[in-house]
Amino acid sequence: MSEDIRIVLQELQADPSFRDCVTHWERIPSREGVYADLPSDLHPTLRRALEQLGISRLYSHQEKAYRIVRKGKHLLIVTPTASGKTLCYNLPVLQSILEDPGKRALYLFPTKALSQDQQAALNVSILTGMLPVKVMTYDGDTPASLRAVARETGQIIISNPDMLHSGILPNHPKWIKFFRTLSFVVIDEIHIYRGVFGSHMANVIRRLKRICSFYGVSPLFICASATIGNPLELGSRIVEEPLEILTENGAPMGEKHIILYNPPLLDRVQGIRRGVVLESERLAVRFLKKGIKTIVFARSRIHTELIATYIRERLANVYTDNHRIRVESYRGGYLPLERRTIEEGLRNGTVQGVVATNALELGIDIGGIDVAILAGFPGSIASAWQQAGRAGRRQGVSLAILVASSSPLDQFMVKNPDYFFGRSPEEGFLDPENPYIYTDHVRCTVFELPLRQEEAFGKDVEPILNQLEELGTVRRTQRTYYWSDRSYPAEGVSLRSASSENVVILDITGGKNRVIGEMDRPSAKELLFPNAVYLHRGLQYMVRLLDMEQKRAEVEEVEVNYYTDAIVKRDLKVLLVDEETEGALFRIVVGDILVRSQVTKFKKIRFNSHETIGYGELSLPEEEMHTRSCMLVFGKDTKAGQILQTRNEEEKTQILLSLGTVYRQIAPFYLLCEPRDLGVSERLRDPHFWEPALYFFDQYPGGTGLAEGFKKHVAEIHSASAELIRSCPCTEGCPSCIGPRDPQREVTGNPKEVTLRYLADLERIG
Amino acid sequence: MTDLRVRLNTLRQALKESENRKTDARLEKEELFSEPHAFLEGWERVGKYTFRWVEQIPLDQNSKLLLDLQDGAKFFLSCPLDQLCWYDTETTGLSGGAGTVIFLFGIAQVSSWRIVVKQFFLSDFPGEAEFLSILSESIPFSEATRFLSYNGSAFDAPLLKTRYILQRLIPPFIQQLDLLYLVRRLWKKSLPDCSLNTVERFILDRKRSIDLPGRIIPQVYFQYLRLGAFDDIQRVIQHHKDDLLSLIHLFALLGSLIREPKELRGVDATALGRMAVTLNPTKGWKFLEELARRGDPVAIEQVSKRYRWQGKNEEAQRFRTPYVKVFLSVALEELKYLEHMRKDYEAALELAKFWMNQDLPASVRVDLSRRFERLQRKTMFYSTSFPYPTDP
Repeated sequence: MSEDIRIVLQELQADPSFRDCVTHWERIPSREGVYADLPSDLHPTLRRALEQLGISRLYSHQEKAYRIVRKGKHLLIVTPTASGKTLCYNLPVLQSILEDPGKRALYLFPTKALSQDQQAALNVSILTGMLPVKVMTYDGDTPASLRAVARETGQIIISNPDMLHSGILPNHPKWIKFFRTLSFVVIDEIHIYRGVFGSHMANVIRRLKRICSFYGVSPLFICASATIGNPLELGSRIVEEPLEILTENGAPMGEKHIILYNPPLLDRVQGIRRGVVLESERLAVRFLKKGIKTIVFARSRIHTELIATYIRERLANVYTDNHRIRVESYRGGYLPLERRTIEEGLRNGTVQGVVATNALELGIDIGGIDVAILAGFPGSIASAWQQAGRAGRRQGVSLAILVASSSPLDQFMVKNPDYFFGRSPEEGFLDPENPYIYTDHVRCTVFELPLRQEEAFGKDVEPILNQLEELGTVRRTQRTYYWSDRSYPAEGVSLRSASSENVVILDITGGKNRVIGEMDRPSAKELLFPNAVYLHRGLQYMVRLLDMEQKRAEVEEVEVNYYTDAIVKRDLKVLLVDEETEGALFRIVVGDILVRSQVTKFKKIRFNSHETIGYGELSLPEEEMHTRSCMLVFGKDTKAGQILQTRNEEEKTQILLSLGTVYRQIAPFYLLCEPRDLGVSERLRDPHFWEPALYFFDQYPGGTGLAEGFKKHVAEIHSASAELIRSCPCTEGCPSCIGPRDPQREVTGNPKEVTLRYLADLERIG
Repeated sequence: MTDLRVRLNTLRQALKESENRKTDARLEKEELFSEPHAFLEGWERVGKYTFRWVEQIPLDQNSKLLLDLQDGAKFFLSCPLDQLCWYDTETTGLSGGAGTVIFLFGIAQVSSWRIVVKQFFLSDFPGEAEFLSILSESIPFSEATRFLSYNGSAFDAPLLKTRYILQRLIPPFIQQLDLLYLVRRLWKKSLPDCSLNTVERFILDRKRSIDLPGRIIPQVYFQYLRLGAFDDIQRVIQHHKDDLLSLIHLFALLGSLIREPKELRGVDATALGRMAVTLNPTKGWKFLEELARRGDPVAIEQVSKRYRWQGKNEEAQRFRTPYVKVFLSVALEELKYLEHMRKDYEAALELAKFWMNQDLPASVRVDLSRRFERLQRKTMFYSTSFPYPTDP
């Protein structure tokens, strides 16, 4: 197989139409494995089970992990995919349980699918009949009859944060047998817990630790993270314990080639390139025809289906052997059984190609794949490496091709390989003290165990408790806070959103009534207004009804050639300034703001060409949201402000707009978030600062650390943005940089030129 | 929902003003309300935070209630009446989670011709350990006691266990009969729901002059804690006592129904009959036979089977005969009997033919057809025009 790849690689290198689109070709040499013997104190039963699975020695990092855990230290393993990280935590945990069958362990995975797979993985060793350890899954799918069994006799419980939060912790006395001897808590994919989810998770772990200490135990945390910019910082904030970090990787790796690929331009002026869907499909077929196992990662469900369809069509010629090549699509909307079948097919070789959304990014064992094609940058370097890491076996050559779409971030990334290869990936941010999230969990923890006045919970729990006391939710007496409400606080708190005031999205196509998602109130106003085209996991829906009272939106599947964009009138008010610093270019302010937004009109924008083909009117009430913001003030005493002053009114506005747009697109490069997680608003005459200002704010009420993260990276975001605008081949602005020139806005100058001149002047004095 | 802006501001401001917090004033205020205070009239203080009420309701030793209760104890639990203990709780919520507290625990026992009701009240959260210890001392938690409850097995008992665990005390042993399950079996078809309230109104015919809706009980308790709202808490206590007494009357009714099964107050006669045959066989079978005579297909089936097992086939048939052309289930029993026991193939065939001409569901028809065809073959072979092989 690898022989074929080398040949194909040579072909690609010799092919000018391919080479011309390559912006970077990185060759990572193969690496030998670094091994260690099986630990000498290993229980004979465990040793035999490993040998039966063909494991007679460990990778160096697996052995180190074992030793660290055995020493009783909390551990954070940072490894790329396919490096045997599961054994890093399974080995010491199973060993402990075999030594003392009374011990218990809790494994937490961010999604349900993964839990079931891990159970499957563990079951393998148990099915061989060699390990007398009872592993049970405890999640929303576990039938009532098995729940009691799991509580009483499960030695390793596999669950997820949502179940821990609403099912296990509030009912902890029923779990007394489990908690009394809980020795290990394994948190896999810990890098996922950032932003809103991470802020919730940190609080859930606080509650867990409180309950453990009630039962007199102090379990050891074993965490596993993908490579992000700050795994130790993130991990420590989630578990609030000193973590010993292990980053080495002793697994062998064959030679890897990573190619950054930019589809050719079709229209220079408008900046339109060949679509990522067709380009990826063409590349995939090239490999599949040679019998090379290929995986394509697409950004959305609809892309997944399109690419899979196109590939099948192209291979369908019955006169060649190609039609026997099996390609499957794989995404979250499939039933678990369907996904298991596809995974099995990949493992045993009956399926040669897979087109997936990032579901497969989360460590499911699917055997060796030779080529990974990323149809569009997955939004973060961390994710890109995880996806690229899917290709590759222990020996032989593998290849990952990153095909850029026309989005500014993709374009930036593919033109600046140093960003992808050189710097470390994005950092994850969270804010466990987000007032809404923190309050929700304070309520939960008081319900679970009365909180003594001198007890700590998070940074500063007193003001929240005072408030709850005023509301009557808790009662303070004898220096202790007790729960004094009839409700069940964990209900109605979703770990994946910041406030319980979410709008539920219902699919009513063909008489259905199915919940397909949720959205927080402020975003709902802007994305789910009546007649909006709502894109959900790649499918198009039209919003038929938005009922803010009932907190529900009804949508119906459609197929249209445009998307909608709300024209939001936004009014921002600064509530509280926490800190002000003089940056190199701006004055940087971080604080709380009030965002009042109103949607009165929306645009209909055609796909691909991005032309506005119509408008719609709306009458929705105003929406208010409190959140955190990082404000860039173009003060008279700042470099950016001085240069801006020399421009006329129209140009000033354009410059602010351009910078705002690009910063927002580039920021996710440094903060693990989506562009839509950050809101941006520009003010030429800001009523608070009395000077031009750019506001970047967290779209989640209360903030999740993005504003603070933005402040940290202002300088880098600026230079990356400037670089992007400069290197963009368009003439007047395009979706890949400052946004297409809006014919509705009558401006005399060329917006891109105006921006470039400003950036040049800034550079000169900077 | 308080103004979110105020909330956010308050939180942030408070965080900044941490140095200025005045703790002394708050301590003072706190002690004022934590002073153990008196409770309602007639209640005895048995602990710093626990109050007890004991009431005796005399019963005429010949009263029907007493007789019914004795029968109930005998039939359902095979034990004397004085080993029974009814219990009920009032709680601060409906979930069984760690934050739901039992603030009122009541029991009722019947002995020496009187009902003794005891209620225990928790006057504030810090007293829960003491409260539970007092319960352990005062309530006959042991192997010998048979507890009776309404939904206790799914809610009250597990919740009680949870409270003991949270206070690090050993949970008591409760062996109980949950009357909810009996009510469901006997009245599910005729009642809108099986809540104790509904049971009271339709089955026990006990109406309360004024009662308070269950869902406001937690709020009343919280108000009591904050402001000492005695009137309202008095109503909750009364409601609770009425619940206990209703349970006693319910059990009495059940006892009387097993002693002398009859169609009373919408009871599902068939279900009652089946229950009675296990608990009080003589009367139970008598009742079931009466139902069978009146044309209850399930009763007919049960009765005829019983006689069949006893070898009294003709008795069994007598119950079936009037209804063989009315109920298919009865017909099938009869057919089996005719074909395999009596070997009267013609009679069987005639009956089978009758049913083949009726409207039947597909699966049933398939089975019946097989039987019919078999009978046809047998009647042909053994018809009177051919000599029976063993005939001389």
